Amino acid sequence: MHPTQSKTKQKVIVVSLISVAAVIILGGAAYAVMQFVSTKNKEQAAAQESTGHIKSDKGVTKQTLNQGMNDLADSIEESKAVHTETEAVIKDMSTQVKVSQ
Amino acid sequence: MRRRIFSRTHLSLRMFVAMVMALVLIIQAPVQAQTTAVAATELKTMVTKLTKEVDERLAATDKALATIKQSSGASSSATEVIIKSLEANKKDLTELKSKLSRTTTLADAKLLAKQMDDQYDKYASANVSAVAIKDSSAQQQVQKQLKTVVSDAQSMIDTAGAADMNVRSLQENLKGVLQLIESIGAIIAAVIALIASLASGNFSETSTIFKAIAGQLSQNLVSIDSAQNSLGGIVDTINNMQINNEASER
Repeated sequence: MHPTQSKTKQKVIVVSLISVAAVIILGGAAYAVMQFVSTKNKEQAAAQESTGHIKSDKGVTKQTLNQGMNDLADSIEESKAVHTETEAVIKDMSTQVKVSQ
Repeated sequence: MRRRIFSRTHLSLRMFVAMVMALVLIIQAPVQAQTTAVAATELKTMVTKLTKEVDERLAATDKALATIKQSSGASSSATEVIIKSLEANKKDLTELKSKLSRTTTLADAKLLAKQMDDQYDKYASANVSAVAIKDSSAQQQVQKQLKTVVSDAQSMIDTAGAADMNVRSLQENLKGVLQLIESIGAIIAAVIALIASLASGNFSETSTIFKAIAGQLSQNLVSIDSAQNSLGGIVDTINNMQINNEASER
């Protein structure tokens, strides 16, 4: 084999090896990232599966919170009705009919 | 010569005068009777009108007393001041009613009518104060409930945070809502103090302030709606979160 041909062949081999190595490294990195994401997802899914109900340190649950919002809505409606009455009374009292006239 | 005390002419003149006077009295009698009857009717009409007005004011005052005694949340000193004003008015109105029942002349009735007109300012101030304090108390109650929901939401956020969940945005939103609720509470407290100071005043002088108070309470309702909506969004987010029980059961 001619020395020039031999050198070219060596170069091709080296480039091939480097390419294979790069593919392996990149593939490994991609795999590692995928594994990481997958693990996180699994952890999250596991966490979700384990929460049949949610309860805080102070014993508050989602139900407590939602009930609080419902009670709040009722109280706000009552408060609006009371305010309407206040406005009506102020308007009514502002027009005094003099009984002496 | 003996002087005659009454000459014939003199006597005739006197008799004529007497007859004229008798005639006048005879003519005047029905007019007098008619005038008396008109005055009696006028008195009756006025007493009926005044009694109706007193009864309405007494009913409104009783209603205001019942209202304020049911109100919870407002400071007891404010409600005490208003209750005292209402009770003083009730006493005045009851006395007026008693006087009205004993009135026999139109002049007295007119005097009582004047007193009632003068009393109106205090009656109106106390009654408007009562409804305004009920309004403020209702808002104070809502403000307390808002704080309770915020506290519960905070507890859930803490739990989620302990479970390594990203709660920064939720926490910031909740902080904003809490600030809004605190400002609503401060305004209500100031309004209650103001109402208490106006309860025994003259309504003709304070009606503008009461209207401003009503305007402020309307604005509070807008802020309350805003806080409720923001809190609703936070609670919805919490409802969609899955918080690990392990963190809560530690």
